[in-house]
Amino acid sequence: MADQRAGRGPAITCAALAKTFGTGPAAVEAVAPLDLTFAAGELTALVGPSGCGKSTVLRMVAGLEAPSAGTVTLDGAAPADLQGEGALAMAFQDASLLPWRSVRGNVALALKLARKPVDLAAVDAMIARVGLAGFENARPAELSGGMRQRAAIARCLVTQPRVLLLDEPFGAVDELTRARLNTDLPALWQAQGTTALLVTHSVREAVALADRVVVFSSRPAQVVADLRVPDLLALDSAEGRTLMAEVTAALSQGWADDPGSGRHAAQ
Amino acid sequence: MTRFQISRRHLMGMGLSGLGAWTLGMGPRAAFAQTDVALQLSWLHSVQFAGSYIADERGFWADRGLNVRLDSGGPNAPVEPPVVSGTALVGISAADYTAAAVQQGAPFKIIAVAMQNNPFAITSLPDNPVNSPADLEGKRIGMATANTPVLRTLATLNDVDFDAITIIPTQYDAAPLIAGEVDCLLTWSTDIPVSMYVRGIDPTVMLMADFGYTLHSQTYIATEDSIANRRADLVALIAGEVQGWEEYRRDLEAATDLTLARFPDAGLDRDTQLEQARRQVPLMFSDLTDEHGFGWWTDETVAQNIETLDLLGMPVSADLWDRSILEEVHG
Amino acid sequence: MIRARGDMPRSRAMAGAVTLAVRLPRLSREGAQAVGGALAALVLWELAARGLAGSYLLAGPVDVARYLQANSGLMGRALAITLENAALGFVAGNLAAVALALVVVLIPRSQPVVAGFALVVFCLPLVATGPILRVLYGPGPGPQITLAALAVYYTTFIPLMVGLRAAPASWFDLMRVYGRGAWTAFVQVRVMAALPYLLAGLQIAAPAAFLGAMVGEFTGAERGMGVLALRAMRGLDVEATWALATVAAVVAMLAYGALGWVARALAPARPEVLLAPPPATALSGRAGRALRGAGVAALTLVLMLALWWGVMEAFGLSRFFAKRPDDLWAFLVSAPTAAENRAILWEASAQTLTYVLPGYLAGLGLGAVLAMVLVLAPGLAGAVLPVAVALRSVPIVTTAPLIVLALGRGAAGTITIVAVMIFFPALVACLQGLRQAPGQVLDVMATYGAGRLTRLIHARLPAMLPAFFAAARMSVPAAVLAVTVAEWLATGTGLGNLMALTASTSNYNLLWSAVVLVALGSAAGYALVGAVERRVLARVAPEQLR
Repeated sequence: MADQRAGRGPAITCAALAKTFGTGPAAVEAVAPLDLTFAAGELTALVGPSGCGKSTVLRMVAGLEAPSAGTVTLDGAAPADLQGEGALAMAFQDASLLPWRSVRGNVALALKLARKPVDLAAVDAMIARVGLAGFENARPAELSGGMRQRAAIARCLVTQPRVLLLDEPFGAVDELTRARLNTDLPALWQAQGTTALLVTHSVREAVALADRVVVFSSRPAQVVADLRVPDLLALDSAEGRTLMAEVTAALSQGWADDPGSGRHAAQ
Repeated sequence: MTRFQISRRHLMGMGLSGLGAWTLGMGPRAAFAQTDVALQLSWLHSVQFAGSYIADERGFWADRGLNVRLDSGGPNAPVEPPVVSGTALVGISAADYTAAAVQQGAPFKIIAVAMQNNPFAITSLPDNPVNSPADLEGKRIGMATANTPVLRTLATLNDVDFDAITIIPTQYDAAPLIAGEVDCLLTWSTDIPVSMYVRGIDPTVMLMADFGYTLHSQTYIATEDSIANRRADLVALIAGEVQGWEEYRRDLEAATDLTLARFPDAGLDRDTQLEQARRQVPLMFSDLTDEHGFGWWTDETVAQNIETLDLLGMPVSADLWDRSILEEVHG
Repeated sequence: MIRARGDMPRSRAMAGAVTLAVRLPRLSREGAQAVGGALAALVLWELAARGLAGSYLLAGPVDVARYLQANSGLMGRALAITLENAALGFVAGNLAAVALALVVVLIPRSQPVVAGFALVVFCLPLVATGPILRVLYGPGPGPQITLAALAVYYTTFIPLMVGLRAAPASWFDLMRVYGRGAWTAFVQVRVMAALPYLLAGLQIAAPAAFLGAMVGEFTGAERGMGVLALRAMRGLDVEATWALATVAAVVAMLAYGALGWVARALAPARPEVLLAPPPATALSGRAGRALRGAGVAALTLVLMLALWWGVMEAFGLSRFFAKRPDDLWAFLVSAPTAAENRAILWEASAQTLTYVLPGYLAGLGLGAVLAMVLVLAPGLAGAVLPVAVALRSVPIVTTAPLIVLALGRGAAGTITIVAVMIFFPALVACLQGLRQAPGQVLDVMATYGAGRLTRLIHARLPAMLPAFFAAARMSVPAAVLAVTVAEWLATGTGLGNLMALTASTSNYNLLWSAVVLVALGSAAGYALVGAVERRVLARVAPEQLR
């Protein structure tokens, strides 16, 4: 059922997808019933206030969280089917590198977990492509935050996934490094035709990287805006500024009464 | 250690066939029809048990078809449990310990007595001596509080005002006396005073047995079941002990040297061991033993023991003692 | 500076993390301080010995060296036999700890029962277990090895149990995203994440194993360091006594240092540190938790009773010394003298409690305070820590009489002995905790020009609390062990004395009643500290409780 052409990503369909954590009076509705389709090969940015449930959507797409209601399908297949094939990859808010493995070891681990042959030449090539050539043997503790995130991206990409899920991977990185990551990295996956979802709270990052920006309200997550980003949009052009203003406006509109509480809903 | 030495001695006699039997787990018993038994000692190996080492080394037990393992004691190794459970055929206890165990339901009998005279003593320094129980009044005595009944009994026996003695709880150690924390210590006459003597401090030692505290010590105990069903082994074991201790008395130096040679890793000091060997002679041998043999007692001494035990709060009857084994040994 | 700290130096903060390890001197300056501290300690020791000359209490380093030179063969053989038993016990105890931790991780529901069971067994006083083990094993090294194993398994089990869970959730998500299950997560994440915790446990275990083997020799061994120590103390041989104490301390320090080195070599990068035990229950609501807690306690109790009974029956141990639960019931409840028996126990317990409580609190407090002092004056650490390790490693059996001489035979001496046993682990744990204050928080304080004291109070102290409580929990059994040993060997009071008396009175009902009291009391104390810990950590360090 899934698209068998190597590297070509599936379309992702969320149908009446909802998630509630806990039961009884302590229940927290993280995601209200949601109908959304993400086109194959596109990068969609999900933006919204902190704790709005956008990470939960991502985790349900990854098959890490079971929906309370509704379904997620990837070209008709369940997330779990793609997990086994190593066709899914996810980058986390913190880089989540295993501290006892070198950069090379961490990247190679993805191949091992995906049951693919561990080709160290390919691993090193991927490390070089994210700009970490020379740091193959370094331990995560010896790297800066930005370098660790790049190593995590290399780990995601080395298995040539068909679905790439990025959960605020640059959230902890300073603005300068983030800008550089944003210009360097998209080329890596765009060439592969991967379907990608990027959770972020940076409007600038969303508009710069994505083909489409979906803006969520505060918890429970509901779509307040769904905007297409024209190809080759320059951020400092009038059009780019207008789009960013639109996203920002949608964000503040969706910023309902109580945005602060319930950080755990996003975990 | 003990086991190894026993086996080595036998191996020399047995040659390779014996070695084969030993390694097959049959032991010399199969080769010689010997019975393996254990004797549970009451403290760490030292000249305190030299008679047993002599019995072992000179084959006094082997000649009687017995292969005796000597199990070391220690501060956390009570004698009574291994004897009750059969790990040891015989244990070395003391009349008061045995009486207490019998009170708690253990089926013990005293079958021989190594120390006719109780080794308890009041040790003091010569410039502030305790020569008689009366001297205790107004003094601070260092001892384990558990021994309070012992001191009370001594006071009662000698019409001493017990309340005029101050008890200071101490570890079993001469240091509090030397440091002047206490005026005297309740000790055995054969250990702490010896350590002090060897180090050049010759203490005044008042043996409590000289002042009416009559209580058998280093008594050999066995269960009623063993006395009924393992008589031959018991007789052989005690006979070996008797012979060993008589040899001991004949040559204290040889007994001391044997002890040192047998336990090179025990940290024993020759001067201390020899002095201890000397000082335990008057406790173990008396006119009574000269007449009847080592380990003996009479109805009269038992009666005195019962009186002391009564004062200690441990009423017993003469049944606690069973002389039938000794009678067979000496008969 | 600030940027660099926020970015890079987690590695530094982490390098000092988890392990309750004292860092070996790395820099020459630290090295010089360590050497200076050691020299100062040696000089003090020699002066104290000279001051006490003629009292037969303390031999100085010169006499000790002379003794060791003259008796190297004797010492070497004793050391070899005790080391061998300690090593076997160390291996056996730690294997048991690993097995228990695996059970808990693979069957999470078993955790409260297994942990409670492990704690109670750890709290069994060796005055009682020693003779039983001797009867079970007969002659030979069995009891020594077993007591060494019993001395170590718990201090490995607890950190290991925590360590096997101490990984960020995203590491497990990573495994799942690739469709891999619990086994892969166990091999790839849990085992490696637990390694530093295991090594920290092993490091604490090494000196404990040696002391366990030494005390095990009191059950009737023929050779070894414990046998020599007994002989030396009884024989007024202070040179030998302190030579033995010195060798034991040096062995303990070497083992501690060597395992610390192995830990740093094997696991240089450490994950975030979790020191709180996992919650006993997943039920929400206070009533539900209490109910579940009571159920777990009851189940543990029933299992303990069954095992107690079962072992004694299985080995056919005589009721004369191996009392069953029904014997104790008769002794304490249904016998005509029951009230009298209870009164004896009650009095002894009260006596013990008046020693153990102040000693425990003083030891913890002292450890925490000294840790703070060392943070405020970091130059001192290099000199003080090695001395503290050495002091902790000297067997309590030899130090107890000295402390009693210095402070008298009353409460002060015993309380001090307990405090000394608690003080060192508390110091090391608190020091580790204090060093874990996040760099960014400290930098924020620095930007406001906050001094060392302000930083200590607002940033370091909260960071210290998890480690402090971990030490406080583990110190409960240690304090009880210390007080019973001190009572047994030095003061002749309380439960320790009551248990030791059994050797002459054969009152094994009293002994086993005391054993049950001590074990249950330690377990209750542990649980109480754990409850306080959860309350406090819920406020200052909720991440420890997830």
